[in-house]
Amino acid sequence: MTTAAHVPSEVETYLARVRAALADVPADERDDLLAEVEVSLHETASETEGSVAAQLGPPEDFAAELRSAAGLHPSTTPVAAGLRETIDRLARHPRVSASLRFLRELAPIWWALRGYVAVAGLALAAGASWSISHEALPRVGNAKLGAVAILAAVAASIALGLWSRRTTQARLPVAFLNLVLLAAVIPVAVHLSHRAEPVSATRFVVQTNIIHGLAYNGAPVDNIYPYTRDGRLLHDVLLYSGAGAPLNVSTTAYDPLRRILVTKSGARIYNAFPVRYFEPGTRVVLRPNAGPKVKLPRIATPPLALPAKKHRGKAR
Amino acid sequence: MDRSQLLRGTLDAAALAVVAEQDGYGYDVVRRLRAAGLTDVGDASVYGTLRRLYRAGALTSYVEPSDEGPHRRYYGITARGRDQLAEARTDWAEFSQALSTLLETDVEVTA
Repeated sequence: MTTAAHVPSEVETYLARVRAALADVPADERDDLLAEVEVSLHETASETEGSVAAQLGPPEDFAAELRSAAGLHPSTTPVAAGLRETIDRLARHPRVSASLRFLRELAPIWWALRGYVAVAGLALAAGASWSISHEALPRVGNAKLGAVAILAAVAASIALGLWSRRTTQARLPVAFLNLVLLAAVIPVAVHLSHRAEPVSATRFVVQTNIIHGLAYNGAPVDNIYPYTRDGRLLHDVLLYSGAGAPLNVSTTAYDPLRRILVTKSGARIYNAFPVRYFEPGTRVVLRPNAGPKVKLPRIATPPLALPAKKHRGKAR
Repeated sequence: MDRSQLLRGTLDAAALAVVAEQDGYGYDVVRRLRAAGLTDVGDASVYGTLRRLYRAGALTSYVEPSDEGPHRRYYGITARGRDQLAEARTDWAEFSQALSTLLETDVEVTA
């Protein structure tokens, strides 16, 4: 037998065609079969003068014989076989296979996570209460047992992951388990994100944007309409605070239409109400008595007695 | 008579017998079967049979690195495989005896 340091291309081609014909066979079973075939092809190629195909027959027939001898059922549907072949070809693409290898390296993170998700998901499904101090911790009896359950599940999950890498038997149930736990990640994540905001704690909101000028219940006041007790609207009423500060209403931008009272010395007065506006282009206030729609109350309390003046009003 | 038809039903026993004698890898088993006189045995049939027997627990397998080309998967017989082989021996002995008797008495018809 001559040494076959490099794979003869005919062997490669033959092998690829056998592989294609076995596209529907589960990947690990097919790989084992093909590993066998590969050894044989090398030895056949090195022992015989003619082509491998001449020795072994067409690869498709070879594959059919292999399949029937191995007791593997023929492909169910050509579509499924084609799909599997496409997936396999995709998985062999260097970039895809590099990503798969990377994911494989990251798999232990998922193993640990799925252990937690299993416990958290079951706790959610069972409607268990959750620890208040450690929000991600469900109570299994109590929070401490919950932590123990999570640690145990993570350990078991990692053990399962390591074991399933060594064996091919568990492939299907493990895939199913992964699928279920992957779906369970969503409700668990939603639950945790809600818990991230403590429900019992009161929030104090500090309002930092102070309103300049006049405000009523937090909303700015841009005008005031003072009425007498018998319902007459007053004009040019000057308002002051208890500390003697004028209750100015002014905007930062100069408004040429606003009627602003001026002192004899020329100082502008901004605390005169109601604020009135000129008609554009004139110095005329068209409706000086205009005011908001208010229903003025009928007042029963007698007017305040003023010491200096005689008062005409009647007490009702 | 098509000998491959005959082989089909007896390949399990033949492969078990070869492996029981000495552990072997796929192509090695093919060679030994051919050397024993089963010249028509197909490579693919043998590999398929070995894999099936392995899956059924009649064979164990282990990989041995090879200097030339890919690693070889060796097969060895298990206790279950030995039971199966013993059963096949009995069956074959009875069957072949019956058939031999039949064919010998009927020699003029087949000729």
